[in-house]
Amino acid sequence: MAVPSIVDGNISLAGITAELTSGYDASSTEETSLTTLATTTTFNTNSASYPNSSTPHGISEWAEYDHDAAASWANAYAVSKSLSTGVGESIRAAAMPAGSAIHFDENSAFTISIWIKAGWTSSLNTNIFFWAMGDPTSGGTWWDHTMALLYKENQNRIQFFMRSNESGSNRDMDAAWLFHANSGGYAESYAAAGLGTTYWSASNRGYNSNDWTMITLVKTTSSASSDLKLYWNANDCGTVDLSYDTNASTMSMPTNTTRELCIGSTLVNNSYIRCGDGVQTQYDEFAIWNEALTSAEITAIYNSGTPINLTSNSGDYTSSSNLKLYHQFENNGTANTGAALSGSDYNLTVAGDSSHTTH
Amino acid sequence: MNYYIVTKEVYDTLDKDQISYMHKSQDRTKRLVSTTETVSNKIEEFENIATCSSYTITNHSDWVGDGTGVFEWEMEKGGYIPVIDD
Repeated sequence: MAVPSIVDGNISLAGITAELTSGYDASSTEETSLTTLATTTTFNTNSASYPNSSTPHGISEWAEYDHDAAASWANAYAVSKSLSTGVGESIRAAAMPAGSAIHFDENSAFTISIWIKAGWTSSLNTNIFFWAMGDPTSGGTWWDHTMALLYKENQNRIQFFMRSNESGSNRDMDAAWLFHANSGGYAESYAAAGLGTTYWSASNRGYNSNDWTMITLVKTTSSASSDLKLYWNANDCGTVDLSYDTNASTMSMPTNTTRELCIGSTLVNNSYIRCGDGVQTQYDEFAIWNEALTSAEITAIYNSGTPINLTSNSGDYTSSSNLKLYHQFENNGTANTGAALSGSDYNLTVAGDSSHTTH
Repeated sequence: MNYYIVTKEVYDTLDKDQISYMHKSQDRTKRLVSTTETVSNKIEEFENIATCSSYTITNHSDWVGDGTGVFEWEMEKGGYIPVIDD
């Protein structure tokens, strides 16, 4: 029995073709169809034959998507930010109502995905917050009752945290994936991002080197940081490289208060915004589900770099009914009404140096 | 474990095998390090990990620049990669 093989970055079906033509009746309808399939099917048709600087994690990756595929947008708009610190310069929903479907706590399962076109340089030397949400006004310090995902440029790692009350009982969950070394526990995230031993920046975007990166965080109902998953495009960043939980299993992330949501900044009085220096960083396709998407679903929504409409199931993506908030930014900060949550409470105000922009 | 702020020049002389965490200052002239090595030529020395973390939060504009700081768990868990110092 012949099996597909990898030749110059493509999946070769030559063996199957030979087997079909030598051992079967090519005049029959079924055999002719198979022969046609074997001789004409082309995989990995994008311009580059090999993924950048790594072998695929499994043969399925070759057939499902191409690391080098440049993002292709059916829609036109995104939002952007530059390096600045100033009150009001934000992409922000100031007060999402208490108890909403995205008021997650330590026991919640959720998935949050965002597309990013890095505009910062490697000299930025600080944190780039992709998103943050919570109720910082009810805690002792700004990160109390907050969760966020950020790129720590200083350390070349992506970090997630959820904290209920650090100043009190020191309850939190923290996790980080490191991209800077192809060794030991870091090898998986190193391979997933394709950054090499340099930082993520406008001049080094890893896979999709001149384009967009989809960053997705997946949390199950477990309160252990070590159970979190992070995806760089469709690539699983593997085991959490660094994690730290302080009483995470008993932490109490309040869901009975309004929550703020910010794209591209922390929640500190709407004032700390550092997302790029010189070139604006762009964000698009921000989506929240109240379930943990599977790896196959992440691959499906990445779709070889062409975002799909998440309000409809497509292929392995079967979670559209659990899509709770969706910002495609086609109509400025207006939330997509195809998700469960939309309207003025969930619309994002794009203000200050933040702008609604085309790709 | 010892917690120091040292100049880049002093940092370059430290035994990297003994370092578990390093963070560059915003102007890149200084390094915050946790190390088992005893360093005499330092800018600051901290009594423990908590005072070290608090210092970076109080002086965040020098160290992180966005209102955050270097958290205790980050120093405690390490993740130091020598080649990151470029």
